[in-house]
Amino acid sequence: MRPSSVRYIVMTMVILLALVVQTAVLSRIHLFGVRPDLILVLASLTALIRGSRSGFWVGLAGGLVGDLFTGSFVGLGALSKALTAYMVGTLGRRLFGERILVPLVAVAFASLFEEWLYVMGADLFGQALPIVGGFTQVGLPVAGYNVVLTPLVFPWLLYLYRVLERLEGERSPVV
Amino acid sequence: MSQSPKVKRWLVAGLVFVASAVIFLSSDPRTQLSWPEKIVRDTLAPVQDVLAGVGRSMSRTTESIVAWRELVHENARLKTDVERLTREVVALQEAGRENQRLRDALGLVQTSTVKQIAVEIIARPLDNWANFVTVNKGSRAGIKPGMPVVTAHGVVGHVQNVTAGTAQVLLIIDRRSAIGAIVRRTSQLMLVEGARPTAEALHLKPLVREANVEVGDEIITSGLSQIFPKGLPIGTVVSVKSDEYGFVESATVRPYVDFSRIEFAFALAAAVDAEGEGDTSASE
Repeated sequence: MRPSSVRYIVMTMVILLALVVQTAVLSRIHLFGVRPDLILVLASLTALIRGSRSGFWVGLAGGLVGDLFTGSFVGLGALSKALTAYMVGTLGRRLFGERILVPLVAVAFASLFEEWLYVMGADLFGQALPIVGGFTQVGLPVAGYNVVLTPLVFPWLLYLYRVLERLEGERSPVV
Repeated sequence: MSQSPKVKRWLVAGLVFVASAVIFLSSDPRTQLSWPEKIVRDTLAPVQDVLAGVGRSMSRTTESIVAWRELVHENARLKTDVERLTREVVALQEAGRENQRLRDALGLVQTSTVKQIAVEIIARPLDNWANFVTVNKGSRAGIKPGMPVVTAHGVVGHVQNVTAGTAQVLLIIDRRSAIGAIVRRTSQLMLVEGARPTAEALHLKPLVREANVEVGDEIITSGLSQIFPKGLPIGTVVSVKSDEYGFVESATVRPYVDFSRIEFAFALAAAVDAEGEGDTSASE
């Protein structure tokens, strides 16, 4: 089996695992009154570790599977997560360089940006969601929760990508 | 061979068009799901079931440790409640026997069958804008879109769509939910809707001009909708907002069901209630 095929299979399983953990476990644990967005955390950290294109595809795939599970606005979550991850990958290294706070700050801004994108998209397709209320009641708390999850996810994701890169014989573009 | 910029532009435009169409078509709540959606839900359901069970055990263990002292007090209080309820059950049983004696005397035949399908919550929504849960039974178990879902405490929601092995239940606290209700004390008609996205509260709108709603009033289903039978408990009024003339404009209702902790529920398959002289035909 080609190493790139192994990467696709492994990332597919990681996305599905994140979806299951999010819906069956984390959604029961409310922090700041909200549920986290593990798929977005995954996509944003992938963008930092592997680059904006990888983050885009993880966001698109993870978001699409999540949308299919939810059954509402299928595609909107995929697009918002993909674009957000692409932005994180593009800006993350330029603005912050190699600092320990990079993943935390990136995830915080990604959470706020993705919620805004989602609200705008839902409004565009006829479902008016509160913008100001969405920012204060959803965006900020979700950003806080995602930041709490980041130190738990980042080391494992970094390790996983290093292993995959060793399998593929690539140099690691690590943050 | 790389694609020319013109082809790429057309490709991107085409993808954006298709994506927009899919998002638009899926923007409203649907009872029929597409095959990719069914595949995703049914494939993930067994794993979610297992993880949900693990999560429940961990929650119970944590809650037991944290709430030890309260458990001791609650145990004493529950013992008192059991004694009181036992006395009430005896009285109700006697009332039931008398009811049947009177029915027999009048020649009335009552047929009431409400088939309840026990379901377990295996997944909750991904985002914070939707309030629904996924349960571990679907069309194979006889669950159909539109079925009401309740617990012993009150109304949970209704089945929105089903796959072979799962069903999605739209909770009454969702902003897209609206239930016909009445105030138990006055029997005045109300509309109960979901409130803010992250709040487990309901918004009460009177359907009559001079509504009489007070804090503490119990809200129950009106039975006028196609979905919920009459008399199911919804919640309690916790605050009332009046207009400049003193008429009740709206109210906030705290639901009886604790949606953050709900684990099991019942889907009501059929509510058939027929009364008449020897009439056993079923009606809905």
